[in-house]
Amino acid sequence: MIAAIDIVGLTVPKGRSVVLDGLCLKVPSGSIAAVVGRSQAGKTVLLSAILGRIADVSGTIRVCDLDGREQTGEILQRTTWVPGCGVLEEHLTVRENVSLVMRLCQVPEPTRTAVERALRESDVPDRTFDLRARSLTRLEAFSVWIAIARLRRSLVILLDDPAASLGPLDAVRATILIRELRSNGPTILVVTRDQQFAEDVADAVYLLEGGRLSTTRASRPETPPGHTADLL
Amino acid sequence: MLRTLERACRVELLRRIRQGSLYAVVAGLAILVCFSVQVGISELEVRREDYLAQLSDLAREQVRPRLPLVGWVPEPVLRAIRRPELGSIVARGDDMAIPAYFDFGPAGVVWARNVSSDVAQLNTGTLTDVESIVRVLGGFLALVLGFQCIAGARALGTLKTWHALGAGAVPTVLGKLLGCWCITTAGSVVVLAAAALSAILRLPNEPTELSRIFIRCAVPTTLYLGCFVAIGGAFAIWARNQAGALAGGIALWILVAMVWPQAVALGAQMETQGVMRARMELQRDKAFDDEVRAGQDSLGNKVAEWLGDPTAAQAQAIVQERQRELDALWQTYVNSARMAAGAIEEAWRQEHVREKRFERLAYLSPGTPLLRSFAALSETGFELAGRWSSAVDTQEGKLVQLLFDNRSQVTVRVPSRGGRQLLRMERNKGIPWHDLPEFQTPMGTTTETWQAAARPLLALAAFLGLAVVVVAIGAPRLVT
Repeated sequence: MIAAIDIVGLTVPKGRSVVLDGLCLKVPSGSIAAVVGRSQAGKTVLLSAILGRIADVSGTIRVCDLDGREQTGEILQRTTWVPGCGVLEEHLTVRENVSLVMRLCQVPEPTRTAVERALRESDVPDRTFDLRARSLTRLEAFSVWIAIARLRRSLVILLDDPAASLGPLDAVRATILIRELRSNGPTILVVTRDQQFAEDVADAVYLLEGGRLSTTRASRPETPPGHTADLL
Repeated sequence: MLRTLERACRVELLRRIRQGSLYAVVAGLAILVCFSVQVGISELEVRREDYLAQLSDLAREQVRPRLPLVGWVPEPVLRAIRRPELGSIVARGDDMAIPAYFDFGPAGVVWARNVSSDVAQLNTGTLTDVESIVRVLGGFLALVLGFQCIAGARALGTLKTWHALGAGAVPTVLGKLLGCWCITTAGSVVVLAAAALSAILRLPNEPTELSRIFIRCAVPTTLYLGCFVAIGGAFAIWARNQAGALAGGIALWILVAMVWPQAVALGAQMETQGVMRARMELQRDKAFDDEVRAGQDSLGNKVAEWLGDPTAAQAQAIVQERQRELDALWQTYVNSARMAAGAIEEAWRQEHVREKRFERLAYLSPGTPLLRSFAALSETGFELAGRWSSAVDTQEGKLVQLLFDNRSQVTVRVPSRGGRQLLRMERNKGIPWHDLPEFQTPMGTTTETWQAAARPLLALAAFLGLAVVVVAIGAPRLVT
């Protein structure tokens, strides 16, 4: 099985210490992996490193078989990063936000029908399509980003602590949305502080501690083999 | 990169356009600026009434039957009267400090006295000026807007989101600030248009000139607001915490928009306060008169040398007889008197030149270039004083040659019995006032106006460029 995300020996220094210390992670294509860690454990740093935002790193990062240092632009084209419940331009409507993201990604702008279908598939209520983003609930904003990921046909989706500001019921809905999204084929990496959420949503869950990963439970039965959390 | 810049700019523009508070702020500023213009017009009207009264007095003097001019004292008929500048309703500049009229006398030009409080406004602007509203309030609003734009995006995480979508940090940040700049420019255009309209309604005979002044003033306004938008953005980028950034930005605004221009103007005034023009004129006139009197005495001594202790009739006869010889001697004293007066005036001018030291310091903050460019484009700046000074000097040169140094009569003070008897030496028939050259009122051209504003505008553009560079260098910090 080809790993969509393949990280080997990732070390990210911060001052005299290190945030990530020789971290290794393989996420097979089409699977959902979750990394659980407490605050300041380095979860967001891990995603930032995957996105090529951190210059001072050692180790190798490959995303969709692209080099994380040399081919950052190509990786960004294939990846959708969703911070929290998804950041939208608050003064724009849902449609305008979708259109803006498509233009920023330089993806051909989808038709109105395609946008509406993607929004509906992602549980965004019809009444919100022409509302400004500031009037959306957190789950609705998150759903808009799920729709954006569908429209972009992203190969990799990075979710940065989506459950942090969701209530228990909304977290369950978010779990369903994420698992439904997986059926479209992308690889999803979720980082979160909420272990329960991680276990509900992911095929494999890793614990990030001291800059390294360890597995917290075995992969789900349907998960293809290939998940490794190297204990260095 | 350009696409990202354009998109970020459009998104920011849309954000501001959809904010109700923008319209409230623009309306409030428009009302304030209209009030300021109305106050300026009221002041202008008072000064124009005074100007018309002066003109009417001059016209009365000119039709009064009079003898040819003798060149002993300043003649009211030679007075040069200055019309108050229309642009002073926008930026008072030097208009209040330049004399309302100039009198030409034997020792030199005598300036009309200004009220000291008016002179105190020289180069400092006043809080009622349109310029000062732009400098103080406009600067603050632009700073807050620039700060809010970047700090808000940073707090929400939109910059990182954009970056994750492939948009570069530098074009995104610059585009957002460009959007803020566009909106401040649009707001300032609305405010200046409202002010122009209110001025035209009050002064309906001068719509073209008024429109021209307000259109010109939009240029430095735009550059200045751009500076503050970028400064606000730079503080939001570089500061460690947002509260500190805002406090730093406000402190800089106070320094740049208020403290620095005021300090520079006060410094310039401190240097010139001790050498007020009035004092110089008194010294100059006295030195001139002393030399003239010495000449009169010297001529008298010459007569006494020739005749011993002559009677009045003898003295008068020899004065007429040997006029050419005496005239030559008189000319040496005239030259000496002119040199003495000139030296005192030159020393005073040199003191004025020292002001330029502060002028150079002024360009360390965008506040003073804004003030200078507003004054230059409203035609109330340094160049107005320069034009008038040059025109008055030219006229003075002509009158000195034709009238004051070539007096029709010279008094000869001949020693006589322990005292002196005064005799009149007729040198020529004298010149009727209408044969003297007419004063040429200086007029500035549009090119000269822009040339005068070029330096402060360039300084503003340089500040803007510098702030943009600081923003561009710091932008990648926002996404890492």
